[in-house]
Amino acid sequence: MEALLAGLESIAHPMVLLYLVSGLIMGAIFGALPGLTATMGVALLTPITFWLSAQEGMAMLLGIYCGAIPAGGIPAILLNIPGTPASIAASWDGYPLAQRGEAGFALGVNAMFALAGQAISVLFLALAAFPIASFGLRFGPPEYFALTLFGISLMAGVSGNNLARGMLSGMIGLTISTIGLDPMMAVARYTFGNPEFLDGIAFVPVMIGLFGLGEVFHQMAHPSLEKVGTLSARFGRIWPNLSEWKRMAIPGLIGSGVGTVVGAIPAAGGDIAAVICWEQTKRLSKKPSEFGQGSMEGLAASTTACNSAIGGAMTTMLTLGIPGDAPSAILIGALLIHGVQPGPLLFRDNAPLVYAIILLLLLAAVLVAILGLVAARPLAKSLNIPKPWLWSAIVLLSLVGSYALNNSVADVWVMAAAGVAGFLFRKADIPLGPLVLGIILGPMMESNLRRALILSRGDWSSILFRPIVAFFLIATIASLAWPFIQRLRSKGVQT
Amino acid sequence: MDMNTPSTPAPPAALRRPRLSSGIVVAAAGAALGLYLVVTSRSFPAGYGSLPGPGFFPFILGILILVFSAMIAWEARPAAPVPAAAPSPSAPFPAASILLPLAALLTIALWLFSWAWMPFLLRTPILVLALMRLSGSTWRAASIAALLFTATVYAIFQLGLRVDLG
Repeated sequence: MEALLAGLESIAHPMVLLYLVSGLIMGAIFGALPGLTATMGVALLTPITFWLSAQEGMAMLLGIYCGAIPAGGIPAILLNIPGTPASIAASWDGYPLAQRGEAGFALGVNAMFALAGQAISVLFLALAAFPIASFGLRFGPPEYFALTLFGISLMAGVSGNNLARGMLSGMIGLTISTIGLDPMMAVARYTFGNPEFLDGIAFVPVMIGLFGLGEVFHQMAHPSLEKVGTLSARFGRIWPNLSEWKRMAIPGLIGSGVGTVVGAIPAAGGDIAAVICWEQTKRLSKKPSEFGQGSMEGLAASTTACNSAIGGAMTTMLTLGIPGDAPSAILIGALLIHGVQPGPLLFRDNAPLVYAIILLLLLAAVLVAILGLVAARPLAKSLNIPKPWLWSAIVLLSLVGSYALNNSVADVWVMAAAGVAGFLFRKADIPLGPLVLGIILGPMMESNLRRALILSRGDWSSILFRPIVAFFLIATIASLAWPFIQRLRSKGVQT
Repeated sequence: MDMNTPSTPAPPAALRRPRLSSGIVVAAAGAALGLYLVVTSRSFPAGYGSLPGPGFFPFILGILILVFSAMIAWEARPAAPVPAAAPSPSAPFPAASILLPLAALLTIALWLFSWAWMPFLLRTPILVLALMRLSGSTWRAASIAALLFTATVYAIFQLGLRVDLG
């Protein structure tokens, strides 16, 4: 209770609230502009938080994260262009609704179910985080190694048809994490004689490069990437009536559950959650033929799912130190800048900060709904900003932001190299999520494996037959085998 | 008349020079990285007793990268002679589309190289101007963006956050 009050006290400060609101507005702009994403927004603005307190910095970054996801639904509904990958499914029913002259209604559903999704998933975070973290305190090096192995194996599940490419991406991420001094024997690895790399590759510049500069290069190579729809002139009513609320309640609840669970899975974000939930809700619906034609259930389900993925991703990130999606991976980097290491020990050593984050997420959810209802029209107008202006602004912010972290030109070169890598990965259809997961989990995986081997005097059997380790190993095997089983099943159905 | 229709007939499929698919390129690059890790991991000091050395993890990663590269190469193998396929993950890289990103990268590299001898307030407007012009903006728009962005970034980072931008 004391920790909760301390957390409340730390955010009940005008500056913290100001940073939260400014983060929400910036997030809404990043989300509403196609091509700019929540990940890019969090990555580009992380360097600025270096000069703020942990609470102020987290308020701004959480504001961007929570503001961008629902704002991505605005161009999806009005123009059939998803503002962020998470709002792809929102365009399937939102745009047909807008074309029928119910744009205001669709935007209202988008805002209110964003609130529902975020609030329910944050409540899950509040209830589940402390028990998960206290369970995590029982983990030793073998358990942590098995957990990270499981996290890496989940790359297979979220890589879709690109199983091998997803795994390769993850392995490259793990390889990048080996650059610098070896964690046990302090031997320099892959530094090529450059002392700047002894501490490893700076994580935030890599993220800025992958998701900022890399995305700009990608858009430059494909200038007509998005097919622009026609903006509906009529907005119409915003609020659903009672019978419509009843129709959307169950899809909303399904969206919250699916979104929170999928969000908690490493590397699976709101985009996957929304698509899975939309398909499941369609299967359960009494009117499946309406899905894709302007179904309010479809819109409610996909909106709640992509928004509730935030709470799920934050649960895994805060309790176990494993990111649920790309923005939460960058949030780990932002917390590390402030000397805060996410994981079970955070709940024991810095519980007020955990409560502050939970309260900020709840507050952001409420403000997001207000912003979504009030600012949908001005945000829709911001879609007219020409691409060259956006590209130049992002490039400049990427360059200066990556330099400002450590006043290091080497970091800017790393960011530029990561930008090229991000562009080539996109071009070769290699997913970036597993790469980020690999970079984050690499040091944890290697040091815990080697520690476990020291503790067991090199005896693998005493590592593998511990109950929690065995559980994670079985889950790892199942997760790796699942795509192959699915392929065999689909081949069986075809023949 | 359809402007996309070529005026001369396409050569028969058998005469077309085969082009590398992106799958083969990715697999080759992955294999090179995997081999590099396997070879270089042997140069690190060996561990002692039950403690594996610094090369242990990179060696395992190298092997896994080789395995996944082989899987990608296997998936990218030509199943049948199907020329002129629609763009797909295994379609060849279109060369023309990388010109603009390449030019932007070159501009960024020049901005970085000029760090030591050109002040921020001079090199940054030139960078923005070049990026805007490369992206097809008018001189007027490019000049306005160059001044606006430089002034904003300078105000936030140099004056506000006291970052020495040079």
